[in-house]
Amino acid sequence: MPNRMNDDGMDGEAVVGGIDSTVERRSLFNKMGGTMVAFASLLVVWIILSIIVRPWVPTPVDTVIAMYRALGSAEFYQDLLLTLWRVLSAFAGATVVGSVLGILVGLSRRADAFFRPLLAIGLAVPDPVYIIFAILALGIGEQAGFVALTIAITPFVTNIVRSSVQARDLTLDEMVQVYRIPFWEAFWANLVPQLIPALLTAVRNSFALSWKLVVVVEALGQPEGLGAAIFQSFRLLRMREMLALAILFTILMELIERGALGRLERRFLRWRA
Amino acid sequence: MNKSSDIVLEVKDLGVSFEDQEAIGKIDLSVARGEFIAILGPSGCGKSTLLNVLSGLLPPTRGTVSVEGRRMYGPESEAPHVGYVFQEHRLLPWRSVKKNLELVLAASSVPRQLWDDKINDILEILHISRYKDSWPLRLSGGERQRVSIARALLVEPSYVMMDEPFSTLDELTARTLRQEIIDIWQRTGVTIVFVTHSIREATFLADRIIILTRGPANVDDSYSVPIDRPRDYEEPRIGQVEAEIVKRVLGVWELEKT
Repeated sequence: MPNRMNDDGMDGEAVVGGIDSTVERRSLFNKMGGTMVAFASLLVVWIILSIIVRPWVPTPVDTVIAMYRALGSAEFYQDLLLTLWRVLSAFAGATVVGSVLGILVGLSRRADAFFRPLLAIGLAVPDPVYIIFAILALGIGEQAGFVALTIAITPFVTNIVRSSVQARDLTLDEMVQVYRIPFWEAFWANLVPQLIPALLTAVRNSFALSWKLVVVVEALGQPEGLGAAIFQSFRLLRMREMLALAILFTILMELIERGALGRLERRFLRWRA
Repeated sequence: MNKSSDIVLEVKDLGVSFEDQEAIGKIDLSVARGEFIAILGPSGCGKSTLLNVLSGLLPPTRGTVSVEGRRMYGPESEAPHVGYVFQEHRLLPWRSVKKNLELVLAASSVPRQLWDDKINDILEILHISRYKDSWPLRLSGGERQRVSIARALLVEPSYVMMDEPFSTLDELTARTLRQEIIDIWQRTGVTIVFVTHSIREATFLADRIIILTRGPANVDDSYSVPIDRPRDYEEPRIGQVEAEIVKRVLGVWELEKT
């Protein structure tokens, strides 16, 4: 039997395991430490601003009190649910349309030649332009927001997916061709899994853009929803309430993104060594 | 004995050009059922292009390819069932070993009720049964190449092509796999077309060596290996035949000048 004990009489693998866990702990500590320093810096800047730009920037304490009050009101939850529904429907619409279009453009040279300039224009147009035109064309209603958001976000998703399709491993395409795997079987077994990392990035971007733009759409043209409530607070110069709503909404979106999307990522990429 | 008189693969007057660049000059070739042939040629002579034609990936510019008497690349023709062991494993890393094998079985003519038995048998033969449910990226290079060989054999192919399948492996693993390929070939009687640029490897493995010229490839010689089986990779006779072939190809591959 080879002797795996080191000079201290410890098992070699146990020592390696110990070093690994120490490195992991140190890395976690650095990460948490960095996050805490970042939040502390933000808090200090906030406190300074609340002193300098008084009364337009509320103090952290006043904001926390306003957040607590908002959490106790039924109106907040009604607005939140409505906004969440809008975010999810725009996000789902843009992700599906953008992914399908991205795959099509990535696979077909003709589609690429046709859509590439349109995508460049789509990415360059400022998002409020879509929102304003959608409101003018469709009026103030659910449709306008949904259409504007889908049009604004789709080019981002399409671009990410298209790049990934074009960068796929062509040797695997040859393999499925040699073994005569039917098109749709090859599509689901070979192509789509190669796109998963890009699709997850697209989903993340799409979600982040969706919730930011939904707030703008609601502020510009909706009577209800968190965006409308934030805009209403701004009009009435209730800065505490405005900031409280914005912070609550941001925390919730971050939780959804990190929780649900992080879980999806672990599920789909578990085959990686 | 694996040889029989019927022809599995017949290539006549084959030529391939890419725009104005000629990749294959003229190749005539026939492979009998159960034969193990090696295609030997210098780097860049068009060996991989030839395999692409034989695997149904690339229609030739000129000539015909017939598999089991049926023309490939004709208007009515259907691509044949062939196995292909690539230089790299080309397994789908997001599917387990078993799922990778099931994917090719689904496109083959093997009835579904036989899949499990066939998968278990082939994994057993290649000593990788314990990795049936593993992800390919968790396996070593040699183990992945064994899975790739299993995939090629499972589809009941007319012939199996191997494109320098051991070139990326360490020498000991490569030697073990060469011996196992011989064992599997003798056990199953499968027809193998093995591409290599290693003269010793070709001499050890093949019944017959097709020697190609420098690119654009032409067949220079069809050389029957005069060594009985079983063979030993280190036996002096292999060294002698290797030296004989080296002498032959020095002029053909124009290496004497350099």
